[in-house]
Parts: sequence; structure tokens; C-alpha cells
Amino acid sequence: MDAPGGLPASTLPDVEADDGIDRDVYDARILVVDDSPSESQLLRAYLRRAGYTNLAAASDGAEAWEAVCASPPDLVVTDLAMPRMDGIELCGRLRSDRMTSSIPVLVQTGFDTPSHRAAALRSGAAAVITKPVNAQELLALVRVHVERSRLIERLSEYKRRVAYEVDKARAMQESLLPTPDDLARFEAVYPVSLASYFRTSAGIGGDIWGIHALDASRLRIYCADFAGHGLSAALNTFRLHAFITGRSGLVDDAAAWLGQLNRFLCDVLPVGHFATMFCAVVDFSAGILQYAAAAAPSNLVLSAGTHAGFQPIDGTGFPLGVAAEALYQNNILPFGPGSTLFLYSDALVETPDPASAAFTSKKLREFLDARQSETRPAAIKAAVVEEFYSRCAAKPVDDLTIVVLTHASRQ
Amino acid sequence: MQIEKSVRESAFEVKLKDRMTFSDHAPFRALLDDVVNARAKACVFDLSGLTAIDSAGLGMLAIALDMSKKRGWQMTIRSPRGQVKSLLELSKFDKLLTIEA
Repeated sequence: MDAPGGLPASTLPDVEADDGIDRDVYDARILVVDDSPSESQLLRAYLRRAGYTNLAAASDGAEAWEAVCASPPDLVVTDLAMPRMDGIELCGRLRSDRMTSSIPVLVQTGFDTPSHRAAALRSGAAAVITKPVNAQELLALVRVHVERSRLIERLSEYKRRVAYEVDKARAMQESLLPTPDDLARFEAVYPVSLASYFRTSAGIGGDIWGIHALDASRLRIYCADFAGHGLSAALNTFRLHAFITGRSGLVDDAAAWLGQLNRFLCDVLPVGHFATMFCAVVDFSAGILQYAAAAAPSNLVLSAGTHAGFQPIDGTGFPLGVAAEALYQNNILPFGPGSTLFLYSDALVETPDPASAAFTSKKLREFLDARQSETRPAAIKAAVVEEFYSRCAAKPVDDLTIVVLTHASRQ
Repeated sequence: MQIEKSVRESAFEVKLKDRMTFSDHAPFRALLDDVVNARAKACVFDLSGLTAIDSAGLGMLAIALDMSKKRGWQMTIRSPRGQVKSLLELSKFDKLLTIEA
């Protein structure tokens, strides 16, 4: 092959294209910056001979900066001492602009002292090559940095794609939950006031809650939490939701309903997957609440007229999806006008970690008891959420759900 | 979570320490594979040093229990404490698992 630029072939070292590299590395756009035309040609000859075909040249830092802005290269090889803008300043410019800061810069310098090398590296150079440039060293560095840069770009692209997909999935998951309009409809039909808070730890999560009208005076409210968080827990919430909404023949009785859900989940979930759940049937005419639980956190109830403050509700029970033969138990609580039910997922009492949480179930009760004069669910919920985030320095690692239901006082 | 494993005759004794969470899944599964590959007759999980367990940890115990039934080894839990003990009781796992004080 004839040497480019009129240089005799024998002066070029025997450099061969390395067959171990990913072919698209050779498509990398490389900008060679040097104020000496012969140096620039030599470097480009080395690169071309090794297989890089997408080459550009600039004769100083200023021209290089314009070339980068016009068409960002995958890698820059630059001399240091140049008129108008030198290599150090070029490095600094490239580094400080978000659009160019990840382009690797290989710097060549005739000064082989540690302080010069350090200065070049500090200004943002990826590597320093001493002049006269050794072709093997140059090509090895070019290869490493182009491959690394390609890898980072692929990872960034993947991350962007995943974030986009998770965001779409999050919107779908939110659509499973009762909307403010849904809650308003319940408030129009029943003597009830409702408020809820829902926030996942990773865009999507394993929490789900719902509310169903059973008849003229009764509704069912439930809160479920699939083990783990993220994608697999979220997919399980869709399954459960589809089963609950799509299925006729599901009973009203809280314990029996949990039994039906349990048998379905035991059938479809792999071992190790399960959901904790709490279900309450509120009867506004009779002023009672019937509940059943499957390893639920200690939800809280304030029964109007008992003067006892918020009481914990024992959530003991087999999680759903573990034991097909599990039986659940109904319990009845007084729930006359003025009563409040406070449901929450265990993130509230397990953040930052279960052994030393910001809120314990006891502290939660004390917090709510101290604010008994506030009877509006929206205000109760807001107060707890605000307090929770102020007590947790770190971001919660689990999904947080809070639902507050009040049996409206007789006017 | 730290896993300390010792084998005597054909019985495994495994001490689980610190916190058992979702990120311990892979090493725990590897441990269960060891139990099966060694054709052990029994495995005791000593939880006296386990300070906390989350739902993913419970899931791992459920997987271990299922494996023990399918592969014919006796699974025992020893000395759960504090939040770990409470969670085992709340979920009625104390009825599913063999637990020694």
C-alpha cells in the first residue's frame, strides 16, 4: 500500500489492523490536532493504516474546537504546544461543555516530565503520549479509548431506554389505583371521607390498594404489598388486580375473600413470591368494620365514642401465595360515625431499616392520637407524609402507601 | 448478610448474621444448592445473629422450605430474635417452619 502524503512506505512501522477488535471501532471519527502538517499526516497515516478511515484534521486548538462543534468526534489526538489555542486549553474546553465532556483526548507532548504529564491529565486528557509518537502505543491507546467510549454510550442508551419503559409502566400501575374522581364518587354515595398517598421506590413497585362498592351501605377497602420491589413485584400487582376486577363469584366476606385470592396466588406465583394484605368491609348502617389480614402491618383504627385513641389492628395471618390451605379469620370492630381507619404499607415503619425505623407502629399511634382534633383524612395523611419524610434522611427503599378512611360524623 | 456454614456428618449448620434482604438472594440460593449437592439430611439455620429480615428474606425462607420438602432434607430454624421473630409470627411462618428456641 502506498504511504499517504508522499512518505516512503519503509518509514512507516509495520502496523496491522488488530482482528480482535469490534469492527465498528474502525468507524470511529478521530480528530487529529497538530500545528505541524508533517506530524499531522504521520499520525493520520498510522491510524489509516491500522484501519481507521474516518479521520479529520485541525491545525490548532481553535480550529479543533470549531470542528468538534460542527461534528463531534469519538476521539481527539492533540499536540500540546499550538498557536491560538493550545492542547491544555482545548482539553479544558472539551471537558467543561456537557456535549463534549465525554470525548476522550489523547495528548502528545515532547516534554516527558511528571509535572507536564500531570498538567495534561489534570486538564482532562485521557492519556499522555510522549513525542516522537510510537505507533504501537498510539494505536493501543486509541483502541482502548474508543472501545470504552462506545461502551459508555451503549450503557447510557440502555439506561435511557429502561428509564423510559419504567416510566410508562409506572403510569400503567398508577392507573390500577383509585383516582381522586373515584374517591369523590364513593364520598357521594357513602357517608365516607377518603385520602390516599402512593409512592414507589423505583418507579414501579409491589404495593396496590383498592376500594369496591358492595351494596348500598357497605364497601370493601384493601391494601396489598407484594414481596420485594421493582419489576417483579409490580407485575404481580397487575395479576392480582386483573383477578380481583375480572372475576365474578368473589365473596363479600373479608376472610373468605382473602381465601379466594390466596388460592389464586398459590396457583400462579412461583415459590418465594407472596403478598401481605389487609381487607376491611365497612358497614355504614351497622357502624361496624369487618376485617381479615394476611401478615399485614398493624393498621390503626379510631373507633368513635370509645375514647381510647387509635388502636393497632393485629395483622397476623399467612401471606397470600404461600400456603394453599391457609384459612383467614374475620374480626369485627365498632366503626360508627366519626371513626377513622388508617392503612399503610410497611415502608412507613421500616425505613431506613426495620430495626431502627423513623416511625414505629407505637410512634405512629402517638402521632395520630396527638392530632385527633384533625378529622379530615386529607389532613391526617398530609401530616403523616410530611413527618415521615422529615424523619427519614435517606430515600425510602420500599414503596409507601397510605390510605385514610373516615366514617363521616352525623350532621 | 453474613453466611457462616459448617458441615458435620451429613448435617449443615448455617449461621445467618446481620440483615437478610433482597440483595442476599444469590448467595442464599448458592447455599441451598450446596445443601442439595452434598446430599445433606438436615440443615439448621441459626438466626440468633440475624437482626432484621424483610419480605424478600421471608421469600428466601419459603424457597428453602419448598426445596427441603422436594429434596428430602430437614429444615430447622433456630433462635429467631426481635424483629425477625415478630415477622415469623406475623406471617405465621412459625406454623410452617420447624423452629427451635
